[in-house]
Amino acid sequence: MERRNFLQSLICAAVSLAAPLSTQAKVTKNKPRFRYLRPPGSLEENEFEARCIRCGQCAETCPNRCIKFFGTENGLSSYATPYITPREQACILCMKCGDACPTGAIKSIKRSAGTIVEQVKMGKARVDENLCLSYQGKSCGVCYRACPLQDVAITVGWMEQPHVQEACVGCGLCERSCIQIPQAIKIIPNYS
Amino acid sequence: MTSIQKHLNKLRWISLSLVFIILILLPCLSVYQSFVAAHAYDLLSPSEKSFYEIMEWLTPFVSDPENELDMIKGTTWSASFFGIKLTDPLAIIGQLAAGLQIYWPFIMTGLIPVTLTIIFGRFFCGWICPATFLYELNTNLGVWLHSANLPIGKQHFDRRIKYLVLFFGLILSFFTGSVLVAAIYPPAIIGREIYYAIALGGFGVGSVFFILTLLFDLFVARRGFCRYFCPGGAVYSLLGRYRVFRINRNVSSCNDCKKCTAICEFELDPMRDNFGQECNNCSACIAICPTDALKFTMNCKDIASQGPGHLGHQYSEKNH
Amino acid sequence: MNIKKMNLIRIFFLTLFCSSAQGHHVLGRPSYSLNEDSTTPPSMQVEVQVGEYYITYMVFPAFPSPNQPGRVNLYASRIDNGEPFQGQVIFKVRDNNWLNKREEVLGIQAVDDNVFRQGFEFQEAGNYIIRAEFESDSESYQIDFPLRIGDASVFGPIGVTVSLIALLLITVNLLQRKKLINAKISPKYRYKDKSL
Repeated sequence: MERRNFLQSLICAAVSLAAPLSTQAKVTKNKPRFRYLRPPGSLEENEFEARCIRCGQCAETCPNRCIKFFGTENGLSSYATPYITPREQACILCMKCGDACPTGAIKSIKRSAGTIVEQVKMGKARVDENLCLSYQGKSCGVCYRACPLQDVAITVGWMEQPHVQEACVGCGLCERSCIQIPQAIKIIPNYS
Repeated sequence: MTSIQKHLNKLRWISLSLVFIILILLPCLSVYQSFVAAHAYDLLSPSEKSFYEIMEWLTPFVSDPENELDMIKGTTWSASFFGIKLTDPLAIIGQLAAGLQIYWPFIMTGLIPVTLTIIFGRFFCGWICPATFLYELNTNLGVWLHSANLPIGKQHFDRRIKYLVLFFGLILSFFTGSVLVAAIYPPAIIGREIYYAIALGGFGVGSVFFILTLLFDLFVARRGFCRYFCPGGAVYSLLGRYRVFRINRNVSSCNDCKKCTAICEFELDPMRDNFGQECNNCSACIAICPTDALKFTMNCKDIASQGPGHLGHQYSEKNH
Repeated sequence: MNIKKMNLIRIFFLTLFCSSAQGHHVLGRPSYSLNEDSTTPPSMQVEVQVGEYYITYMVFPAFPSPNQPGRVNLYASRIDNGEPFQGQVIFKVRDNNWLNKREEVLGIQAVDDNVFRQGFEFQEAGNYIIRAEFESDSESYQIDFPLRIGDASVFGPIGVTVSLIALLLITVNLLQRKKLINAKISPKYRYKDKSL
C-alpha cells in the first residue's frame, strides 16, 4: 500500500514535470501523456468523457482492482475518469464494470468469448522483437500462457515467439505478465 | 405529533452518520471482495489479514462475498442498491449538458431522487449529503473558535450565486464535452476521495478542493459553500421549491426567542416565517424551539409573514 | 542390464517431455537481468508518451539510498512501428524544488542493447529530477522523471492534512457537544440580527 502510494505520486510528478524543449509550435505535439486503457466496452474517447459521470462504480465492482482514476494529469476533461495501466494490473475481462456503469459509458457486454472478441476494443498488443526473449532464442511464452484468448488473440511460433492476431481485444494480461523490463509486449490503445 | 418531530434532528444525525459510515465501508468491502476473488488470504500481509477478518466478521450472512456484496455499490452521487440504480439529479443534468444525448436507462435512475425532492424538498442536503455531515461539524468548530475569541467568517453574499455556478458549470460541461460539475460537487468529491484513500492508496486533488471549502466556511461565510456555490444545492432548491412537507410556525405559541434563527445552519429566519426554497428540512429549528411552535406541515407554500409571536413581548405590548 | 536400459529409456522420455517446461525458468531471464548490479526489479517504471516515442524509465535498485551506486535505465521506442531509438541521450539532474534550478550533467550515454544506462551515486537523501534529452528527426525531446533517494514518508501532505482536520472536527464536536449548542444560540454568537 505504501509503496503503491509512493509510486503513484512519483508517476504523477513525472507527467506534470515533463516538458518539451522545442519551439512553441511543437509544444502541443510533444506534450507528454500516459498510455492508458479504458475499461472494456468503453465508448469512443470523446463520447466516453461526455457520458461518464465519474461515479467510480466501475472500479468498485472490479474484482481485480485494475481500474484507477485520473487526477488532473491527463487534462481537466478526463478528471476522475477510469483507466487501466496494464503493466500494474490488467483487465481480466470479467465484464462487471459494464453492468455497474449507470450511464452506458461502459457498455454492458455478455461474458462469452464470442461477444468479447466482437465488442471489446481496448487496444491491440504489439510485440517488441528487440526485447522479447523468445525472439532472442530464449523460449519464454509467458504472454501466451497469460492470454485469456489463447490461439485466438495470440499464437506462438516454434520457439514460442508470440504473434498477435486480429482478435486481440487489448486486455493487457500479456503486458502484465511479460517478464522483461521494459516489457516486450504492450497494448497500443485504440484511441491513439 | 410534535413530540416525535422534536426528535427528528437526532434521527437526521443518525442518518448522516450512517451514510458516512457506509461510504467508508463500501470501499473496504470492495477491497475485501478483490481479496476473496483472488483467493488471496494466504498471500496477505498480517495487517491485510486482520482487515480481511474484520470484513468477514462484518458480513456474517454473506456466503459468497465476491458476488453477493455487489448488491450495494456506489456513492451518494450514483449508487446501485439491490438492483435499483439511483443517481443524483445534478449528474443527469450535467451529463445531458456535456453530451446533448438522451440515454433513457440513465435518466430513469434519477426518477426516485427527483420525486422525493419534489415531495420533501432539499432533504438530500440535510439528511444524506456526506459533505453536510462534515460541514455541520465544521460549523460547530467555528462556534468553538468563536467562543475562544478567534475570528470566524461572517460574510454574506447573494444566495442566487449558486444558480449562476450551476448555469456556468453546465455551459462549461457543454463546451468541454465532459461532466465538469462532478469535479466541484462536494458529496461527489467525498465519495470519490474516500474510495481513492481506501482502495487506491491515497487522496487525490478533490480533497484539496474540499479542504478549501471547509476553510471558506470557517473563515469567510458560515456554511458558505452550500449556501452560495453548490450547484447540486441549486438543483435541489429549484426542484424542492413547491415541496409538500415544509416547516411552518404556529404564531400563537411562538415567544420570539430567536433560537431557531440562531441555530439555522443556512441563516434562514424561521421566526419571521422566512424559509423559502433554501430550507433543507433539517429540523434543527424544531428541535431547539422551547414552545413547540415550529413543526412540519403538509403545505405547498410558505405562510406569509405572521408578525411577532403571540407569547412574545412585542405582541403583548401591541395588544395592551 | 535390462533394468538399466529401461531406466535410460525412461530418463530419455522424461527429459523429452520435461525439458521445455523447465526451460522457461532457466532460459527465460527474469526482467531485472537488465541491471546486473541489482537483485531486485526496479522500484518503478514510468512510461510516458512524447511526440513520436514511448519512453520507459526505470530506477535500480528498487529503493536507492545515499552513498549507494544506482542506475537509471531508459528505453525509447517509436509509437508507430516500435523501432527503438538508437542515438544519444544526455542525462541531467537537479533538486526537486522551486528555488534551486541548478542543473548538473550526469552523463551522455550511447545505446547499449537498445537501452540507455546512466549510473549515479548521491550523497544526500531527497527528491531529485532526472532529465533526459535527445534529438530525433531534427526534433528535440526533453523529459523529466522523478528520483527518490532514501526512504519516502508514508503519508503524503494531503493525507496528513485530511486526517488532522478529521481528528479536530470529531474531537471538538464530541467533547464540546452540549456546550456548542448553547453557544450557538447565545446572543454573543448571533451576528445576524437584521430583523429586530
